[in-house]
Amino acid sequence: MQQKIFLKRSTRKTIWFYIFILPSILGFLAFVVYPVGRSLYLSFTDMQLTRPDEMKWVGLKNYLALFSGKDPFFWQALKNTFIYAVCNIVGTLALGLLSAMLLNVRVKGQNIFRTIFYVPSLLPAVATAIMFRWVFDPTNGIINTILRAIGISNPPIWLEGASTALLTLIIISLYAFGGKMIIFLTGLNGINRSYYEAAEIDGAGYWYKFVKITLPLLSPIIFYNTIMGTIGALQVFTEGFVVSGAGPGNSTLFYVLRLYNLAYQEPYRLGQASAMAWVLFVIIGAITAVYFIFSKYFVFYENEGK
Amino acid sequence: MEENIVIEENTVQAQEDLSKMDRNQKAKKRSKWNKIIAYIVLIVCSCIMILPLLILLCTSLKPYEELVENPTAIFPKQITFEAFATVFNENPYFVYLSNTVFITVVNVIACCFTSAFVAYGFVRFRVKGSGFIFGAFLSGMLIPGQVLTIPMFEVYKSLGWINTFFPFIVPCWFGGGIFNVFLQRQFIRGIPSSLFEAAEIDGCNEMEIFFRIVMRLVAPVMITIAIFTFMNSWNDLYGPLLYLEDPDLWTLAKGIYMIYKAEMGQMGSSGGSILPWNIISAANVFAIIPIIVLYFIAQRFFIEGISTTGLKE
Repeated sequence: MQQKIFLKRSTRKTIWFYIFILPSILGFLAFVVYPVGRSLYLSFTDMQLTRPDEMKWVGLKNYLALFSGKDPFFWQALKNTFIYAVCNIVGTLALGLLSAMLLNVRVKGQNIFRTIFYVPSLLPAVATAIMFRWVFDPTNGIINTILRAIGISNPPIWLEGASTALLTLIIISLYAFGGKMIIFLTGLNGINRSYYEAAEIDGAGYWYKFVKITLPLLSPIIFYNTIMGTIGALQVFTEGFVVSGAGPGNSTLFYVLRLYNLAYQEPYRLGQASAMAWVLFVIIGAITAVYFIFSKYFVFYENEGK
Repeated sequence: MEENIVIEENTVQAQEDLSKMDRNQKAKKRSKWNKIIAYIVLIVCSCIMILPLLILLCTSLKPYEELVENPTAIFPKQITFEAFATVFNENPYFVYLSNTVFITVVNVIACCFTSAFVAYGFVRFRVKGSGFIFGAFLSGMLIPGQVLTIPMFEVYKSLGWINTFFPFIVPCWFGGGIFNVFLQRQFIRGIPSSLFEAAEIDGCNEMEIFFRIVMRLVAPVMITIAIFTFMNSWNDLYGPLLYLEDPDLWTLAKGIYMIYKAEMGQMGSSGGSILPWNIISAANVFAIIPIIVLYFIAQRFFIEGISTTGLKE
């Protein structure tokens, strides 16, 4: 007790600092550092959880098996996931931006429209997935009922066709664009109106104002949401798992779905699954790095140089 | 001569005024048309967004016979709560609900509390290297969850935590998510440090400052964090798929998935008949309603929350 009083102020500060951040340090070690190291190690082994004692070091075998084409599911899953991710990111950002600009025309009832567009993005992914399974039902679903009513006698069979299932999942995923819309609305509100007024005096049209003012000023938001969206979309799971169960014919087999089947079904092939997880990690890291390299050409920060 | 020039100048001025007025009127007309087009597009899009939810609700209110007889009709001829009764009678629905509420509440409390705790440490004590530590924590956000989940699954399995709630309610106490710490840190930075210093002079130690001053001021950001933590826990399917096999422990997300899966399986065996979509829909409606209610209660915070989380630069 006595000693504490004589501790130097800076030492006391340091001690308090570590007391306060202790939960995060422990959490970081237990739930980030350890699993990262452990999964990297596991990826070089043939670990199966049902017989952990027989675990052997296999070197690069898991990785080679993925890339050599021995695992046909890997490339299929990677391809599906990339198509899904690109369409999902571009689609949700475009719909978000368009709807935000529409609402920004200062229409009456803005609040109602905002609610209608935003709430679907909050609903549990399982629930919307199951709901759309019924909506896209080939014989009795509302979509095909409407299509037949307007004279299309042979509408697509959506989730049950190998060529349309992935497209259908992408359409379903666009239903949750509302979060992006809210973000863009906030961004649009933050743009100083005098920029537009100045451009209008110079006789600028809509397209010019959009390209030269709106897009550059929103580019930091677009950039950040593209990165986080990529990380999320490449890990898509629920839609494929619930709605289509990877089928038909693996046309909606996603990367994480394949990984899930490897890791969490008997015999729990944690080694192979870890290799898959690390490949995904490297892919995400590489894409993020590319974004950052190119960001200086596309992303504009208003306060730069001030 | 001079008069002439003045007159000429005046006419030029007048002409300019005229053309300006003309332009203004044109602009007004144009903006009126813009609004009309905006309304049409917005209304059409709203209908598209509402349609699936309307179908879901209507289907859940139909009796099964009607579904079989006329599966493509939107509105039910007679409204019945039969499907809801079936969901409740055949499944421990309230067990799912209370499990979900339990996990969610623990997560919300833990995330709100510990993120504020850690964030206060980062703001109050500018110790050498604290910026680096924070950066290291933040970098964890870029790691795909799969890399982390596989070893944790192994750990939880060896600890005997499968079929317990521990995998859901333990991790949140350790920092409560680094992004939440980030949000709290931004907020606490805005609190004048003279407040902390005054409390220090009055004899408060750091714990007392945290509990008596900081915790009372961070309410706005707490609500944001609470909402997003709530949503994550409530909607999570992946965790319950991995860790909860015992039906008495299922959450709503896993519950409605299993109800759907069971009906699908039955259809496979009976062959060709129409799925009892009224029952599946009824189960879904119950998982969706709490979220919608929450949105209308806390609308402002939903909007503010996603704005702050999505605008991070």
